[in-house]
Amino acid sequence: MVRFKNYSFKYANSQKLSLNKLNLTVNKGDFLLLIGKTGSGKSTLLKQLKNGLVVGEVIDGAINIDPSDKSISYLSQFVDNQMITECARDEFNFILENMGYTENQRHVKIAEVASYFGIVNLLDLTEKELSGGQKQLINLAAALITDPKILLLDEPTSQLDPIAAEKILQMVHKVNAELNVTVILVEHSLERNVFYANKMAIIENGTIILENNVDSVLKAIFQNDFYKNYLPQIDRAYLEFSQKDKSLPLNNRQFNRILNDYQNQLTCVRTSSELADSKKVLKVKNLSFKFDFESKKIIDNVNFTLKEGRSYCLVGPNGVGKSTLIRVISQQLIQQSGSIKLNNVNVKNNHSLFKNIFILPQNPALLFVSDTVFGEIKFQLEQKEEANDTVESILNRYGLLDLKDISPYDLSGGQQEYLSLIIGLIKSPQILFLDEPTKGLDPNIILKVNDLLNDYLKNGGIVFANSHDLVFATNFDYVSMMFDGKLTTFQTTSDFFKDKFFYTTEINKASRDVFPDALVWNDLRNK
Amino acid sequence: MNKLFFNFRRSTNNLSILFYLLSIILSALLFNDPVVILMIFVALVLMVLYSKKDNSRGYFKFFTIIFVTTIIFNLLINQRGAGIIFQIPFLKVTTESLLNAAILAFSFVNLLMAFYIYDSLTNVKVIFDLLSHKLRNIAIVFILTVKFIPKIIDIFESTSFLIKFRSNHTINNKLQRQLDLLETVLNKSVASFMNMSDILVTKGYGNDRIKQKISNTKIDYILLATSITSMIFNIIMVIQKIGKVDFGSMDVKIAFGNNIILGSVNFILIIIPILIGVFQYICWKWYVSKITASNTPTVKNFR
Repeated sequence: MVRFKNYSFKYANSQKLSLNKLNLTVNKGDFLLLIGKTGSGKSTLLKQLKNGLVVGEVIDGAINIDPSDKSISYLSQFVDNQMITECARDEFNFILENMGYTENQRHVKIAEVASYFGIVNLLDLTEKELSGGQKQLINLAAALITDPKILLLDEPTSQLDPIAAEKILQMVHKVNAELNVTVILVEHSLERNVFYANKMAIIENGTIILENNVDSVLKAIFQNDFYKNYLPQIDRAYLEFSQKDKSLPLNNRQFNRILNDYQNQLTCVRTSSELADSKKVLKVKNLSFKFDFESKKIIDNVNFTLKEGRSYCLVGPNGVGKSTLIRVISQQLIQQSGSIKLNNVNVKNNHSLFKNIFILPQNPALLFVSDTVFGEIKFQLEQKEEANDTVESILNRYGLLDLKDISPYDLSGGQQEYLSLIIGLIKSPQILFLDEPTKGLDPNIILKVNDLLNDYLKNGGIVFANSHDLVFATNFDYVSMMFDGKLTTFQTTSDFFKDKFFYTTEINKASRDVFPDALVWNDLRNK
Repeated sequence: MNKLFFNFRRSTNNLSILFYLLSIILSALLFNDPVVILMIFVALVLMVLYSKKDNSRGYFKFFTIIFVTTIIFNLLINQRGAGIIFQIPFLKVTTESLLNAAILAFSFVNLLMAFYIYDSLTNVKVIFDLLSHKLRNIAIVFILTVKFIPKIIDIFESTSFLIKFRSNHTINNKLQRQLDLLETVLNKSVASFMNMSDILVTKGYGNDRIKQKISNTKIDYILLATSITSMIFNIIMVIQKIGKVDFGSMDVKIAFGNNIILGSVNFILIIIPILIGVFQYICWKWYVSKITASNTPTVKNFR
């Protein structure tokens, strides 16, 4: 159905080949899961299959695509601003009119797709009234309304909470299994996705380096020190301590049985313990905020304290106010009641706030001020009173040297996220506020980010992050859940996760009866 | 009120609604006779309540602020007239200046309310459908503008705020600071615009678009006929200088004559959705519901 033969491609504004002698075959009905490190060419490959999405030059080779361009649909990672019109009904009509459907055909199509996706009640709601998961479900329905033969998905769940993400993936699986639609899914995380794919491929520097069925690829990448970090937590734990004879991926029930068999040979290295007290830096008291007079409070009487050298993570579904909380603390939005004190001084109209904190917003591109990555680092270094480092040394230390002449807007989503975080670390403020910092990052970069944040914490910094990535959340000192504008008390990570039934890591779900403190694969070790 | 509005909205098509909206905007724009604008004001308030959205309280607050500001501003700059109501140093409030101020304030608020109703009754796709019949390129420029301008404003606000977390130095030259900021916003907007163009590609915009057929109901014909007739009527009235006063002068006064008929015509035109909604509701209550098989107790008893 799709065949890349020695295909090489470069963007119009780049000298470097983004795809280099790439070979890949996707058959009808396949569910291909494509992974690769940040900036390896995954999204570029996907966009080659839909006309008009990339501007560049084919240097060599060819692509054979069986269906016409009209039979290929594309769904991006962005949940917001994907609707041209005001509601799903108008959006479906807009697409179908563009595709030449008559009024009667449109009516039938909308009826079909709304029933299939269970979105009849959402058809007339505006974008503002929909949650993140609902928006992405509508985006998916919009991509499928014209009966495509191929569905291209570019990290469709990266901005969703775990529960909403699971629902989207189940729906994609249903479309693949029931309607025989070929699916090509680009992802960083293999968690959940591996259950639905029948085929996996790894792309590196624009070339496919491995392509096979899911079981073979998972077992093969375990032998590779770089890619083994991509493995789903359950499969990684299994491959680390057992015979490796079972077919992968394993579900939680299968893993639980194996754990029971190996119980005597294993131990859990994570234990819950109280952390030593340290200096209070930020105090939030009775904080409340709502957007409109009539609307309910999105932040409702929130109280917490941030202490020096500690990290805090906020989890919870989309749209509960996690990002709004950061915007209120940073005074981008002004609270209706309550106080925020930084170093015992109220932050309202206090300019030291800007000096002492750094915000990594959900859209990191909003932070950029220069035309190149080099310029971004240079700008940040110039803000420091004593800069011991040169721009080159920083670029080298953080692995950004290859990207130094590229516009920050031309970087992939993950690279933009990483660059913004580096900018924050160069500033070295008292508190780093990070809004979804792992969005678009590959697992190895996430590990690197963890190390960088740990170094920053050791120097007395404070990290406060929102994240849907529960594995990432396990690296924090304290975790809290936000819902209906309220925050639960910050608990130590082990204490927080071990009494959660649904909202916890896969390792914890699978091993809670044997090792209740285990949250990630390396919490379980051979004795 | 809302159920009347929803039923009315569902029984009318986008074209007739658009003509109705154009006619009420014209009514709010054309006249400045105090009697006419007061009657239009009352009708528009009724329509704002009828079509009210979640944030209507905020809009009413805004209308009040505009009203009061306009009155005060006009009283300060126009102190003509002989009938002094009260006088303090530098300020003389006369019957004529107060009337002039009220005319301007009501005209402003009328126009704002007309656009509020426009905002409540129409949506992006209505305009796009109508424009795309003949002016496809203008239609897409319109749709992108509608999506893109709020996006640029959002980018501008976020960028100008977030830069404070990166920069420790204050650039004293305000012009330089603004130019730097605009350049940054422009770069971000271009990136955002490319994303929008991708969305259009994925929604099949480049293909041959099928033209929308608009089917009219009886209500649409009534609304269309009333709107077009009243637009012609209003333009003739303006040419005849009926409904216009010599605004800003000392001669401005409240008079009754043909303006009552003009005001009444516009009043009925503006509240026609309410009249249609009430008529439909009465029809339903007294006739349709009684001949419709339903499980509501009233109908069961009747049957």
